Amino acid sequence: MSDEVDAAEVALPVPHDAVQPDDFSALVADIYDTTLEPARWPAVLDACRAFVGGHSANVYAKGVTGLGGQVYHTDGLVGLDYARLYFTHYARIDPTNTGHIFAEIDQPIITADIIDLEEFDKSRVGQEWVRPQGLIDFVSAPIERRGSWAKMFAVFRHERHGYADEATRRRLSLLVPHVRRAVAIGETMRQAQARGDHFAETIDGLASGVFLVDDEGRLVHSNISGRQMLRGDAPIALGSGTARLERIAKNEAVRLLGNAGDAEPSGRDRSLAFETPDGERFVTHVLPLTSGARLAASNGHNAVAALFVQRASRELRSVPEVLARTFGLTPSELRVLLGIVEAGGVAETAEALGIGESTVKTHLHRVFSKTETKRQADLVKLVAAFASPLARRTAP
Amino acid sequence: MSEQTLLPPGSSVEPEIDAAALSSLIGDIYDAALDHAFWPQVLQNIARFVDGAAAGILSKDSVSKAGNVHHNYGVEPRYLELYHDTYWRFDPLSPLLFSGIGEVTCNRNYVSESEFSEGRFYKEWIRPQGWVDAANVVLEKSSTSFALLSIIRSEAQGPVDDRMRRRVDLITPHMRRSVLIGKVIDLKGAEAAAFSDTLDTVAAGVILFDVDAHIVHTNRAARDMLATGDLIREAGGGLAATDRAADLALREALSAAGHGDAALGTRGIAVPLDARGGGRFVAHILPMTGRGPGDAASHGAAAAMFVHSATLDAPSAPEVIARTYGLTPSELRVLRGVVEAGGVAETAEMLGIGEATVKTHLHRIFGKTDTSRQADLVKLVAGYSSPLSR
Repeated sequence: MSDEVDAAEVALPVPHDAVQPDDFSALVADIYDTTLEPARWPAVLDACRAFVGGHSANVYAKGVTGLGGQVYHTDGLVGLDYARLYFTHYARIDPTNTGHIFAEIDQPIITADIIDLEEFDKSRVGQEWVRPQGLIDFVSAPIERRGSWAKMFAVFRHERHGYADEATRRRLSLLVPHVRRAVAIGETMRQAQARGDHFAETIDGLASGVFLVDDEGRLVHSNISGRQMLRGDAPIALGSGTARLERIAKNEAVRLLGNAGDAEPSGRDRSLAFETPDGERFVTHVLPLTSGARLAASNGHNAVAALFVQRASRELRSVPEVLARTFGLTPSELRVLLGIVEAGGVAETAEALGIGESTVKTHLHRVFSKTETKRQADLVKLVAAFASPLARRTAP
Repeated sequence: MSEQTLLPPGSSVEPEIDAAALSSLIGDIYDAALDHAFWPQVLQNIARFVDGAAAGILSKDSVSKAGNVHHNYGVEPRYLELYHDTYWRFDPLSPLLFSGIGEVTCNRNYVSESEFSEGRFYKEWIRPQGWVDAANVVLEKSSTSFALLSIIRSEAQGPVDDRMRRRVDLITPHMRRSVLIGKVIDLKGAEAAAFSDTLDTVAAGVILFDVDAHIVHTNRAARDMLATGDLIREAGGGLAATDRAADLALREALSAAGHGDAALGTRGIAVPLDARGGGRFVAHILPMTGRGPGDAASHGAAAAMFVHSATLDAPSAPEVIARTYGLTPSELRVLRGVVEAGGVAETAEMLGIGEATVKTHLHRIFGKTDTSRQADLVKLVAGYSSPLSR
């Protein structure tokens, strides 16, 4: 949105009554293009403004109380400052506000429908907001209403356009349903996109590499850990194991699809292990995706299976602070607990932490007692159980 | 391809095209993008506008020539079936693959009048329905197929004429956009469904929250947890933990995550939770950054929570471990015994075998897995545990 008011409107295309079908059809097509390219709104509203005949076209929302107003799309011809001023000061005292909001959906309203024009001109809104901009009239229609709040499509008339007449009203009424639909379709798309994005970000949080594959075993999506595996980021690089994973993806897609038509759904999950040529072990858990498979039939490029890949490593992604809080461990006890799990026995832990073996033993006994365990293997189990399913990443 | 010329746009203002009627028809076309169930009605309105007897949106495979009618108006079910079974082979539409997108053509543009009227398609499918011609326009092409709008003329309406072409021309750009918009929405929906399915497979309960800590999505495991109510339950659109102390910590963490608290970073935080009636769980809270320019506030999730049981599950696929390290069935049983029951004595008792036998197996397992302590075996099994629900 531009602050600059582009008033360089030299030859005003005076709208005549006859609407040329080709021009109208092209303008409507432009309106719907905003659903795919929201950045086109300013140019499209400028074209709407020219079609209806007026100074500026806008899509915005306001409520009867005058609070919570918001401009969604604008051609930028009413400056940002004036727009802000309206919503902060004038909406609540605008004598036409309620009339605008409670008009019928899609039905254009002009100022004279609501109030005597002279009276409006004498109001504070007329004197302090409308006049200083050289405006004279306003034609608007609600495109969505919830309670006392409405989303509107409106065109301002400048003094040089004169008051809105029946032709203005008729021309706006030709555009309103399309602006209404384009805004609604755009919103539907944004919501579907946001939903997908939020799910994808959640899956990105997982420590496992997650790969979604289509009916031919082609990769259609991977999460951050998955991309790190493919890209070769240590320590989870698949390296030359990538080919193995690709083969698994292909085989599993075929296996799951082969089962898709069975009366008894045997397309169950399963686990597979493989070793990379460098000797790194990975485990893959394969899961069929039911709605993906259902949609694949109609669309062709959808995920039918999810592959969860993790390194069968012995390093546990524990969350030490949670362990300490849960069992009331002191920092020294926590260090010994993690030492036992990571380094090995008492001697190894003593060496790793640079403390005496007897000190390790003392702490260890307290840890056993606090966690109600009695063996080092139990401690490993405990730490493994508290392992986080989430990847630990440093802030970007 | 067409020898016919359309009226150059703007050359004549046709008084017979009413702007309001055209506007309303165009609106219908886009309504069908959001709800495909409108298509038959919209196709009927289109047929009326262009003076046609029937209309359909169909796709043809570029290679096999197989045709599929997605939506139609005015074709009897019996004939639709015949088309899908047999007559797609004989329709004259394949040459449309080479016509431009949006170009309105009719049968005599691809086949001669005599060839068409002698063919099986005309004799056995078109003529019996009282039809003579069709105006066809390609809406989109892909590497493997093309989609078209076909509007059929009856004998009374006669062959496709300039008036019909001009009117089809007016609605074609909108048909193309509507089909494209519908596809984009379907695709985004399918993508979100695949991700949602993926989350449903995770063993941890996954709950997404908006900025006000209201629940906006739950995966299958989370729904189960909420249904039992031993650990967490829904309260006023938000989440409450049965564990009083944890409840407060959870609310604080969610509120911080929802408001993009920098201190949480991308690392998230973890809160231990006790279930009523026993059982330890851990909740991990992950702040969401959102993507793209759209603000997260108006479109849903601001934080994700993963709740998982703090017990080491038995390996979901013990046979994978056995295969990887070449363990015999007895050795695998002992391995699981050590991990699940504890030491040698406990394993012997659980499996009902002698301690000496357990020890013998255990030594072979150490050898095969290159480990030396029972704690190492627990770690090894933990590495194979699945993040997925069973």
